[in-house]
Amino acid sequence: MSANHPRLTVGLEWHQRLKSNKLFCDCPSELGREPSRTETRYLRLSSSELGEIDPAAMLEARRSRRFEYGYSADNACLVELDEAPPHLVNEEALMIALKVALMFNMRVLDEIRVMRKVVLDGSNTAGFQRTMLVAIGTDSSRVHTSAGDVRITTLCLEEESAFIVTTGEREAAYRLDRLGIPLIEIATSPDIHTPEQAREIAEEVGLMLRLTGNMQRGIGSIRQDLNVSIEEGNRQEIKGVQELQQLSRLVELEAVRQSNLLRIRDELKRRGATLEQPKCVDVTARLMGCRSSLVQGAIKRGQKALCLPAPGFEGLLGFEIVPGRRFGRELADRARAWAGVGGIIHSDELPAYGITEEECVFMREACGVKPGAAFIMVLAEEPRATRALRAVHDRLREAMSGVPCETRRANEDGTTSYLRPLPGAARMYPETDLPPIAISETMLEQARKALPPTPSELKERLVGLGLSEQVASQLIRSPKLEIFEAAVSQGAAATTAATAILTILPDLRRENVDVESIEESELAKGLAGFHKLNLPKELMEQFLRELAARRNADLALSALKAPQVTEEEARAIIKQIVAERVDFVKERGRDSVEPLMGLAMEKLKGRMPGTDVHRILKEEVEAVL
Amino acid sequence: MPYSDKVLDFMRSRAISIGDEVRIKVYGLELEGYVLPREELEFGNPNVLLLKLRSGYNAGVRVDNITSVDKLAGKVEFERFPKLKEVKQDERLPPISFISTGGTVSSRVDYLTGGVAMLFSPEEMLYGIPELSGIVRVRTADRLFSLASEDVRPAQWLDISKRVAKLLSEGDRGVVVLHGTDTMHFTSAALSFMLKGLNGPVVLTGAQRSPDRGSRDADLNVLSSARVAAFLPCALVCVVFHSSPSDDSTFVLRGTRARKMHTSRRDAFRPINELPVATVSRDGDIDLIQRDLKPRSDETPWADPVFEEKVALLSAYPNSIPEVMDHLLDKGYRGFVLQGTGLGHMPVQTIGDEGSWLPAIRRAQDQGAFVGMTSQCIYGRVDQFVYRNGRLLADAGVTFLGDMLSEVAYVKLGWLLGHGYDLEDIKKLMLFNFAGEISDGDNPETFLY
Repeated sequence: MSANHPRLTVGLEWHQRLKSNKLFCDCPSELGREPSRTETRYLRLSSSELGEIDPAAMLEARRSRRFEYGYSADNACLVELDEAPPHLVNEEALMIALKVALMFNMRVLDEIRVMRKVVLDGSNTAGFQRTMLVAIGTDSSRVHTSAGDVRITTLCLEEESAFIVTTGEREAAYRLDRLGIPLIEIATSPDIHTPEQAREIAEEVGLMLRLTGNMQRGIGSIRQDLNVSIEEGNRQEIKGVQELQQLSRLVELEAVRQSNLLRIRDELKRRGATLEQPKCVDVTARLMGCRSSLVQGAIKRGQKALCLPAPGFEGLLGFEIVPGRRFGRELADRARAWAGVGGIIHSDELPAYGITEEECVFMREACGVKPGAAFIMVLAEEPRATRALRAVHDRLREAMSGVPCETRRANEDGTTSYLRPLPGAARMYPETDLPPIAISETMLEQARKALPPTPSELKERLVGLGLSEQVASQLIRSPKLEIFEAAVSQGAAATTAATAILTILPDLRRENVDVESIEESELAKGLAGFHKLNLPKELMEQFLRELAARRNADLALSALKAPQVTEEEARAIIKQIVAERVDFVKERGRDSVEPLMGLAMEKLKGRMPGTDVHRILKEEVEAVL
Repeated sequence: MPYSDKVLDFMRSRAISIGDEVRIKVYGLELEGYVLPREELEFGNPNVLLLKLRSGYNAGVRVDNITSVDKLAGKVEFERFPKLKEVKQDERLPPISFISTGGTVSSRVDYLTGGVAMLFSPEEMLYGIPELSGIVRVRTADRLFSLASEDVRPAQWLDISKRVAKLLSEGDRGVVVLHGTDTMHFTSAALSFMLKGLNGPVVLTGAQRSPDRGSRDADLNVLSSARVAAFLPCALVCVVFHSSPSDDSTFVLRGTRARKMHTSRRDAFRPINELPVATVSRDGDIDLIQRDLKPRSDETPWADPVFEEKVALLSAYPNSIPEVMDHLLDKGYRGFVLQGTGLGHMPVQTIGDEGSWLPAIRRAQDQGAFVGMTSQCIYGRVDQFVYRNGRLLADAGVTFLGDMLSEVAYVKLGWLLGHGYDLEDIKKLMLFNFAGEISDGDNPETFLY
């Protein structure tokens, strides 16, 4: 597919949560229990914004929704509630940001300024998100991929938004535990030209970030946004890509969507289509006798049926722009976002929903368009219905010039839906409650000293611990690397720990053993304890099962400490095995050791290391010969 | 710090000025944006040039690191606000007026620099809070001065009281005074005493959040204040503020019973030693909690704007020094409000009488200066009989001021002294209830309300 879109350009943005307290207060960065309290707020446009208001902010402001904020004092304070000024920027988080900047050879700004980015969807109690530009990419801020280098352009440090619980047309509910967790945002220039390259760079950057050891892990701790455009198309910001696997498909489908929107534009040009000022025609009276239960239900609820003529769009409204999504869906997305209506009905899908061809003729007449001409209908109360059709009209107009710039949400199937217009620069102004941050050489020096090893340095070190090249590479790419490091630093044997993490745990997970609920710290502690007790590695699988069941390293280890045998006891058992098969031993000579080993381990597994069993068996066989 | 000479020289030598669109080369990178001004009191590094980058971020770059500057075509002007059109108002709605005295509530932000400007006109009010135009008619909206509330002095109380009396007698149904929050309860007390013959409500309100943010509290506070000014059936001075951190409802608090009880919360103002006068819901329902309030009337209000500035508010604490009082007496001070501990005590029976306030208090009596006692507990009333120390203080001539707030007692004393009454009259008048500031009630529900 990518070969069909050689002009595809993609930029990536990562939002990665940091492991440190919140950015502007002292609360822990933990997602907590059920909130115990709630406050209600409404966000308002500022009078200063009149005249020059950002369209994205305008969209939210028009909604004037009610926001419920649930919180608990465990992980939210007056700062998250917008009831107290922010504390100074968390120095630990700032140092992590500096470290990441240096890791990518970026240039840290001499003076950093905290900005307020206007956000009126309720996800920030203040009505803005605090964010600061920390560093800018230099010519050597490059990440290599097999299809060429990708440049890293900016690094920002910002606060995470509140977690959305429910959202409706008139209200939304959020939780404040997530609000204020520090995030770094890293952006690339649009150097990515294939979906595969997007996946490759995402993996590489993810790996580099992980190696710092300062990143939160787990679901939602990293989000990727995509900026996708094709030649003649336009930049789209696609939000909320959580799965790497999704990336290639999203990029691919976005390229298809944009090229199909360009085809629609070309067709409109060919037809010489023009759009007049939006004219919303009330056709409610004409539909009084309509048999459609959809229409009748709406009329009963006091809603109106409004029509917008769209001559020139015949056949295009039903044109499939990505699999399963027709152009009409783009119009419906807009109507939903700007007016909160459930959807629209367009002429390419009629007759349907109980609306007859005859009624379509009525509606065209009412709109004053030729037979067969396209129109859009909406069922909603006023003034919402008019607002919906105006939004549709705007989108139709944009279709004539190609691809509008939008912020879109990634859907699970790889398609995207309209979220809001692309925000402009007008949305940012200084955070006046905080002083600027002058970056000193001492701070940079401190960050430099804390730089993590590069992947190749790390690999070298892992091989030095006794791991094979292959296992070392596998481990570096594993999200469990940190657990491995923790286990080894506490005294675990490197090879055993690596096998446990890379092989045994995934096997157990496939068996549906609940290994996910093992706390990382318990796992590391257990792996170290396992080694300290000199337990045979054959017992590792059993140990991990115990750990999954008991979730406590000490309990799992003591459950495991099967009675050990002394050398004499073992020798007695082995002697007996040899004695019972003395003919076989005499016949095979030393070659009988290996076949007998299985029998010996059956009796001694977990009670003595296999190497010792082997040694004694060999001695006993030789004694008989 | 403003820009250093180094940066100013740099700008001169490259012929660029504030607001210019520039492309600079720095660390081998090209950055484009507008040159920002730098505030006088800004922290950080004064040797950096501030830019508003294309992305919207502001960033500082040390001029030493800048290798080249190109001036581009663009230019922006900072702190320029679009001129607002005149608004047609509904003549049938009740007329009210706004007076701005400064503070967070009547400021406006320049989104490029973050700088705050004070602007105020009826248009400004109506554009900022469009809902107002469906509730009241904004007859006048004037800026009397622009002061942070900690900079407000008694002279300003007199000015405000005169202006309010004038507006009410010109036909306003009520007047809303926008004020900084820190000393709003001093001003509300002053207006409570100085405004006589009130015919309608005088409402003080303000904001705890800056006006730039979507979450600002000013709008609800101002809307509720406008409703109270137009529709509360009483004539009194009051403070209107959020009743909780939610934007659901506001309190109407008596001007002599309100106190700022939190540095930053929206619901900072609480009623002390009494319940709120009323609550106003977000939808505008006014729910009266207190009865026996003075109803609206046809009287013509007038101001009684006097204040004796030689009064002081002093606080008791272990090792508090009575020499402060001695010093003020030397300077001719005529009255003191003591913020005593607990039921109303000052150190008087210390070991070896070290730091005892009794001699200073006796001296005040001898000089004809009034000494009143309130409690730094804030809640509750003072009592001179429970402990020996209280009796000693009373015996020395201290007047115990019941359940009156310290700040209110201070304002009341200055106002009474301004009339030239003698000490014995002052003692009686300080215990007389002028504006709900003192009562015999001890409603258990009022604590931490």
